[in-house]
Amino acid sequence: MRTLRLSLLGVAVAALVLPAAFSDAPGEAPVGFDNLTNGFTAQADFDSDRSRFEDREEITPKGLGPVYNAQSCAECHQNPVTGAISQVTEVRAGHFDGVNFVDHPGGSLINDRAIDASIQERVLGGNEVRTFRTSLNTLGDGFVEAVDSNTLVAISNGQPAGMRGQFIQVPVNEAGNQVRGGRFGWKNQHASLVSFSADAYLNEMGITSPLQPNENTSNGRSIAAFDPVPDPEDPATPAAANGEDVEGFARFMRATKAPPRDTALAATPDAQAGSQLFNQVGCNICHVGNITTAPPGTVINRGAFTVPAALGNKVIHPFGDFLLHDVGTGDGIVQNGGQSTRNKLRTAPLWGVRTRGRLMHDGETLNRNEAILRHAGEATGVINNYRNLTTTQKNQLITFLNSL
Amino acid sequence: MRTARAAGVLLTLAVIALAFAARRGREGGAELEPHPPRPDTPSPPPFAVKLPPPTPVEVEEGLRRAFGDAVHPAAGSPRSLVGDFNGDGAEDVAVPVSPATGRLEELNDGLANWRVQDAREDAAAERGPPPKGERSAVTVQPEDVLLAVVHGYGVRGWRDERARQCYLVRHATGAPFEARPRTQLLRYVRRVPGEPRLTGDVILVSVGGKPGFVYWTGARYSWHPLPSRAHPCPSTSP
Repeated sequence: MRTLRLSLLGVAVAALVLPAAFSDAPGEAPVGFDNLTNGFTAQADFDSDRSRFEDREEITPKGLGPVYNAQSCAECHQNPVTGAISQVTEVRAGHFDGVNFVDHPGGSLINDRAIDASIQERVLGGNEVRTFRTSLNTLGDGFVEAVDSNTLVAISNGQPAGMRGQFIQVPVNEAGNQVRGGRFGWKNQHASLVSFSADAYLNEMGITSPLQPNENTSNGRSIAAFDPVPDPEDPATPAAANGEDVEGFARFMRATKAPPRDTALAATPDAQAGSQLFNQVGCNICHVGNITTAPPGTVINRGAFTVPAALGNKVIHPFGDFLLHDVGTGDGIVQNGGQSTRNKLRTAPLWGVRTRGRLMHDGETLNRNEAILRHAGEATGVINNYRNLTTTQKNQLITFLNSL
Repeated sequence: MRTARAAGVLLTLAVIALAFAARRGREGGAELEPHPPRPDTPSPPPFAVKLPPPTPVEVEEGLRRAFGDAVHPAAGSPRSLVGDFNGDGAEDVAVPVSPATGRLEELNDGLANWRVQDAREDAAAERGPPPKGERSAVTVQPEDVLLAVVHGYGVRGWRDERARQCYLVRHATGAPFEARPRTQLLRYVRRVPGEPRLTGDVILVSVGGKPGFVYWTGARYSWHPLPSRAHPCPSTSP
């Protein structure tokens, strides 16, 4: 009798403990355009990092330029809150020799500003491949960084033949350039937010750091004579081996909440019908609605970062697959992914798309219907499904998009 | 009895320990080297297969697939042209068309399956000061002769049943209305001020008495002028 009681007790204890132990139900990632931390850092630290992200850099003491695109991160990542999007575009250019894309002298990025008129960059003749690139959202990027590379591979493997996204591995600068699945930038050219921050600090603001110690050129010509601040301009410190600003930018992005839905619009019958049509038509094959981040404690970025509880095991709704596709809009530029990516672009994550007036990678499309119709190539079948919808259904689908 | 009790307790403890060990394992691992993904999507087939010239019946079928009955080939206008106008490797077709009677509302519907563009609008905007206010939507007028372009898909190009991406372009149908390969124009446009970005083959078209060419910018069809005394290329098909 006693044995039976003890056994029952044991079973009861196990019944209580085991679900807790095995309960891995992921939680929803926090969302909001509210300038509040997602919990990765304390609010005071988040505010301090946000201020750094908004800081307007000058030639001295920070080392702005000599060639650059903007004076602060927030110039391009601000709408409706710091870290989000803007209408600002940048220019990339180069030459296609019939087989390969060749970078413009000095690199494919053509800086729009310079601290001296004599070193202003411009697109040189013979560089017929040109494109604009719109500024991307960085809100929620901490969750994106925390997605396991194998999750992205699994998404690709689950896509139908002919629509399978290309997964590329790119250097993680802070891990000695070991590679990881790319997920940031229009060409998936970065896998870590520290690498992305160092790249943007150099290429958008002209400020060097330990991970990007060499100044840019002006169309390939040295502009060292115009640079009054010794490199690296954002130096390593005991607390920040990759530079205080670079690490502060990355910490800010890691602590941002994901873009929220317009919940009132999302609750309308039209938006709900549109959501179903979005899936029915096949948009969700690439604009993936649900992705779960890696569990807390997972070591990512080739050992350079460990997923914390605030970012781990969270469901995000990016409406993107963070893979490269050729949907007929390719800009002809090659960055980190090799020549096979020349006409491919990362699926645009649609979270927060309601804040955008200029659409697609180049911002050249001004309304939702035209943006949809601009898709071709791998998306041809899906877009033909869209073409077969009635006007009412198209409006519902667009209402859904406007709720994102 | 005692042994059984102890075994029960030990068993329970073991199960709990295993459960937590499993959980810890999932929490503390390193991101694994990704398994090799399946082969990437192959690029669209190159435009290597020489397709037969289009017949009027094929052109009308292609137009109907893209535009329904909203347009028809323009009377007295030049024949259709084929080429890889958007540079994706598949053959496209371009045809001067007129709006069908009573179909203007459908043609100008903001949710139509085609996009209406003006080949001169953006070229003018690029050369002059930026337009004030928002860009107005381009609308089809009853008397318009428009350039209808149907982009191709795969090796069959514009004849493929899936080829439905299409455009109606105003100010893009004047003489000589000849197609030219991108490579021919590329050599020439490097000497042209404001060198346009050529992604595909072009169509030589005079607009308002000025010679020029219609080309795909990557987002729209646009017209670019040529100096009147120069004719860049001999008359050959692309």
